[in-house]
Amino acid sequence: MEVYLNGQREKVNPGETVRELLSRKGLGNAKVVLVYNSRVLLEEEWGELLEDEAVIEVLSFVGGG
Amino acid sequence: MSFWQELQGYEGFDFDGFWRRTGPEDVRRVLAGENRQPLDFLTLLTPAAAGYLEEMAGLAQDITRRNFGNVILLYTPLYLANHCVNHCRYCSFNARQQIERRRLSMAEIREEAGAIAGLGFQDLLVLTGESRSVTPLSYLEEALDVLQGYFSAIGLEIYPLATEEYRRLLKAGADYLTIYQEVYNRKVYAYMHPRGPKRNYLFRLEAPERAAAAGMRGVTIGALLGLDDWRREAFFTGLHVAYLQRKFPQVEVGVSVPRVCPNAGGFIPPVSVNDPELTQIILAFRLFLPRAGISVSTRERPWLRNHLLRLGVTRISAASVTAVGGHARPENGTEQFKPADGRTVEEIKAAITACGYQPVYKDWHRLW
Amino acid sequence: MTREDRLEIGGKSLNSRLFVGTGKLPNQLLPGVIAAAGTEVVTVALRRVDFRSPQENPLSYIPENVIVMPNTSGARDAGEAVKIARLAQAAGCGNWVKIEVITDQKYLLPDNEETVKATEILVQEGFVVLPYIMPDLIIARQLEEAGAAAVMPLGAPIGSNRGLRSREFLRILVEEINLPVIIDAGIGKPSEAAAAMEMGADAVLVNTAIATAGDPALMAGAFAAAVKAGREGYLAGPGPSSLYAAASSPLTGFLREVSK
Repeated sequence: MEVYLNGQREKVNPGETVRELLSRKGLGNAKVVLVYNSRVLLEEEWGELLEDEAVIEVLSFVGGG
Repeated sequence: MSFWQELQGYEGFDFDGFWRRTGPEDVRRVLAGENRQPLDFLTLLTPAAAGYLEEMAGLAQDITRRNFGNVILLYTPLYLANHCVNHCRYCSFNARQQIERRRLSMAEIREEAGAIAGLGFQDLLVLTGESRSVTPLSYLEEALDVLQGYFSAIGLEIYPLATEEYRRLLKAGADYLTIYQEVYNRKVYAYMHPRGPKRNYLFRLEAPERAAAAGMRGVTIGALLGLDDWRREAFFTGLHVAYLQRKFPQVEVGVSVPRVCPNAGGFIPPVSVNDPELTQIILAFRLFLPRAGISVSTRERPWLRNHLLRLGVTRISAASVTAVGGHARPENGTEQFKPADGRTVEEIKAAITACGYQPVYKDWHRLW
Repeated sequence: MTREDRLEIGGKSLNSRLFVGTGKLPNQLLPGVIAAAGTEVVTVALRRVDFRSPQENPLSYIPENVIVMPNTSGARDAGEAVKIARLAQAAGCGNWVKIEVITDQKYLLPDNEETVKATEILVQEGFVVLPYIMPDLIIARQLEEAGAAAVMPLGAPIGSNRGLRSREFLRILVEEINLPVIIDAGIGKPSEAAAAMEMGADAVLVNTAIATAGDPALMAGAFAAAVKAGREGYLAGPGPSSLYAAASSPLTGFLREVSK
């Protein structure tokens, strides 16, 4: 099973949640914005199960003018 | 390369077309801008700009205060001699006038200097006619030597000299040079100066830069307003100032706005320059030449001078006597022109103060 | 100063007129820069996380009481700017947003028309919108009409440190627009920030000049002092903001008198 994560294909395990994926990618407690299939997922919704072929964008604040 | 080359660049320039084409929007653009260029200056001299005198005055006052502070320098002329070999049609001292010719002796110069310094003056403008035989360089050197003891700044308004001669007078104690081209229009110049060495237009035109090159601290130039179209004459005068400022950044370049005065010869000026026009010229000078000193002499009436004080003028003469030796002995001789402002120094100082300015007698002191 | 001089934007009353951008600035330096600048508004950007080298979030280095204003950099049209603004808000960034729509990649000049469209939408959604624009009076009026909280015209291209190249147009905005005018982009030196404030700008946003300084915190303090000096210079005098110097009484009225 695979998802698109920030434009790259990423293998995920069946039954894995959004939060688990982030944690595995080293963003366990970072403040990020997550867009799941064009919908903003609030942090309290990160327990949702990943779906096959989901498009996920993870954004974070960086320095900017 | 001298100012002559720059002046020639305007040969054939369509001034009349420029007056016609320039409208209020052009004037407003120039007023809103900074770092004004020659054609901006010319725009301020057009008939269209005459409708913007108040706006120009506001800016001019501002610029003057920023560059000079609220200060007006008082100076006075001293006529050493009225001998002259030139035939300037507009001048009371010209060679054809049947007037009493006088040259002050050193003792008389001392007497005059004492009387003038007694009034408080520290800035003196020394004048002679053009006569290398009666008032040669050696005479001027001697006079400067005497005068140095009385004044902190001495200007010369004399016939044009070579660079080396200016250097000699500088050494003798002169600080600045005043020399008017009288009229920049070469044809009119030839007409106004029918005989005498003054016929040499170029030698006179390049005198200010020779003086600057010799090391004079300042030069003041001007056109005698009334001899030719004042808009062009003022334009060329302003260009000349800008040229000198550019070429000699260390020299204080000033400008004067003398109007032709009624005089002993009964000369009728071909062009009249009325008060608003004179005002426009002064304002245009100030807006084009923010750091040039502007002088107004006692040729102008007290009423007008009081008002012009606030519009960009930085130097005015006072208690002027235009006859040779007239300070110590008022009954003496023919005047070059009849001063229109006959107020005493104290009256003029009071008027300056009433306008919100501080009258000062000196802005320069030579230490060595 | 004895008089109260605060900057009112989007319901907030600010003491500092220096906004600071955090681009090109290491997170560790942020607290020192913010403290030295005395700023109350800092900008941040939103980017895709790079999973190969995840970066620390600058928000954790910004004190609580400072307003964090995300920009919409990366947006190439109004729609993208709106999306980024919504995402930033979802990320817990409050409702301030600096609209930045850029299609020109060489000079990074803002697209004024798209910026107006994005402003109209985001104002409707309750954002406090501060659009970054080319200093254009007509556009600024449209933004005012649309309900922008301020306008942020540029002094020179972003990051160029070239100063107030657009000075004449900035001056026009300062004169004509009834919104705070915050000069953004191009200010390279404290003296330029002071000049902007003297001209009557309500605030300045500085990023590159601080971030690329040898000592960013020291430079931030210098900008704070410059902004204060410029502001006080503006308040102290009539200011050179009017086209013509206006004399208290006519200077040339005498010419209409009967001559004496």
